[in-house]
Amino acid sequence: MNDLLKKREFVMFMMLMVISICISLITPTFLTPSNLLSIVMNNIILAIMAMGMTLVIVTSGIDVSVGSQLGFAAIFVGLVALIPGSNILTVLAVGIVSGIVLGLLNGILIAGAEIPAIVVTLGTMNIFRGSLLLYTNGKWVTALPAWYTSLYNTSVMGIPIPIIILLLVIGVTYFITQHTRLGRSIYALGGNPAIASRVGINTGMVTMFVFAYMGALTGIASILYGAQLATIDPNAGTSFELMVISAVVIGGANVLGGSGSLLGSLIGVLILGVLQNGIILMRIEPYWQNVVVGLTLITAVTLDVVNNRKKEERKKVIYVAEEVKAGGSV
Amino acid sequence: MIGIKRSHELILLLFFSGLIIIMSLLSPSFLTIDNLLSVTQQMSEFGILALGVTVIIITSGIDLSVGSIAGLTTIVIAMSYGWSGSLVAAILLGILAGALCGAFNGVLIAKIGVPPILVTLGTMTFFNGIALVLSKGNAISDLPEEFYFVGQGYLFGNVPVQTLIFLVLAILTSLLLSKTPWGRRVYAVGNNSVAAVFSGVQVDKVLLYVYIFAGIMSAISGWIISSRVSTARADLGAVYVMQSIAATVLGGTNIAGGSGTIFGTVIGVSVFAVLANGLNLIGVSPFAQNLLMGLALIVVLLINNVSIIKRKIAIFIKLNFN
Repeated sequence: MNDLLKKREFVMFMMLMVISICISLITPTFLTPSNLLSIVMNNIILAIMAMGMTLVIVTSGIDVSVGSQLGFAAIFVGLVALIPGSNILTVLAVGIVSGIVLGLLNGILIAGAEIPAIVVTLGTMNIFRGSLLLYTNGKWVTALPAWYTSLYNTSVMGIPIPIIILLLVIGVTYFITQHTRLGRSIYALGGNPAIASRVGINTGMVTMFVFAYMGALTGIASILYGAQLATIDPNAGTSFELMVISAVVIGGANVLGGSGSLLGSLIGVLILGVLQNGIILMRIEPYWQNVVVGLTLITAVTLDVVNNRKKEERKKVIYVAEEVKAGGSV
Repeated sequence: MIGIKRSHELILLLFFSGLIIIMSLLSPSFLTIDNLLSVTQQMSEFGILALGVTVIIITSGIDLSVGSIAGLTTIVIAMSYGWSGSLVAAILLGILAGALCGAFNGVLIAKIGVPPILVTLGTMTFFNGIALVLSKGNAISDLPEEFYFVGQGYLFGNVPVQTLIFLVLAILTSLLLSKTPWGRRVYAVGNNSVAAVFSGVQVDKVLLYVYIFAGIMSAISGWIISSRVSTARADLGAVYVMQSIAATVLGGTNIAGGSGTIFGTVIGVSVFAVLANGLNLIGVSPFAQNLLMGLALIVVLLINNVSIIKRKIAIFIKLNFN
């Protein structure tokens, strides 16, 4: 299983390399340190949210409300940042708490009322966005204080703060998946929910956790969102959920649950980021972008299915061969 | 099974009647024939999308690309009218484009076996990209006067043309699902595709046709939208994607497949249309519409699952307080 996962990531990594080499052959500006840094910086929010979405998709769930959650949390973070006397800690608390509340609401509806995740989050996507627009009356949050917006450009020990935050998020998520009972439960639930609950896993709690965790990460991402753009539109994050899901899926997570890795999702984020950057650098008209991104996604998921089928057929052949060797009838 | 389905339709009908009563109490102009006709006009476009989505969800699939197909259709119609000068040819080409998009989805899903949500997530972006490339990102508005009939015209006095189209398509789809062998196969695939294979249903063929059907419905919807707004633009159908899925689910179609009716979907679509129209008449901010549509979806499903919730609460109390 582990080998299989490693192989999947390796294929995606090679795909990333091939795309990067093609772009750098055409445009020399691609392979410069400043451009590579800007690719990373421009996709930090996507990467943070992709970490949470990986866990959601591993449990065979999906969350299409994260774009609305991002807008919701970003506006609240912005409003709090405007209050005199607030500081980085209050902003951080507001972002994370509002994210957790929204995510937990999804989790409770999914686990408690057994409504499918896609339906719940389709509903809450509209509820979050609608209540946000109603509350702000469509007005933007502007004139954010400098201490807040500088969060995005400040470096600590030479590393920009957003990258430090991303590394922390990756570290914590990695720790949860690899070194805790909870992490094993997440994979078990996605692999087979019936067996998971039979071996004593509280599947409801695990579901609520992954959606709340998704919300928490969206909250963290929302803090960087406001700091990056300096103004916050109540429509912020509209259809961003599709980018997040695409990145995770390109990275090899199985929407049917049970498999998916953080490394794969990060490679997925990079593939999307490099494509976007390359299209701009190569001066291709921007409306080609959707064709390229769409085709990449379709190719990745189709190759995945074809490869898996080949593997299964090979397994079947081996099985039959062993049966024959053992003298059994086929 | 039938009992569950009936109870959902009953809850939904009660909810819908309640909504109509509240709206007509709040606004005297709501319950007039002219206004009700305009409600049906507003719901036709995404109602037609929802017909295709319903058939797909019954097979336990999903289609996120219907809006992009509608947008691509508008561009194909406008551009091929520019080349050929024939409106009929242009519209036929547009619908053919929709069918081809559906077939593209269908082949990947039915023949290769890629999960529908992934295929259509990709094609949603891809079809939209093609529309953008074809139109160079611009809106096209040099369309002839006759083209506006479908989206802005009236028949039999003051019945909007698209209402009639929606009605005819809804009845046809309903007959297709309930009275033809194809319809029975659609339900069989959604219920249990393995059992369907063993009982001789060619699952891949059924699925392929289902996605082509949704592609054609999306194309017709795109045709009506561009006729109503007198322009063709790549993003015209985008807002209706999530709405049409939500309306289908609200109408009682099981997202896991196997059950659902066109009647339910039409009511689901009507609930959204009445909400939008009524709130507009009362003068509530349009921002509240999103909120209430989302709430309607969640509330109806919560009522539907009330026995599950009761059971869970009972278990929770037993575990924590005994």
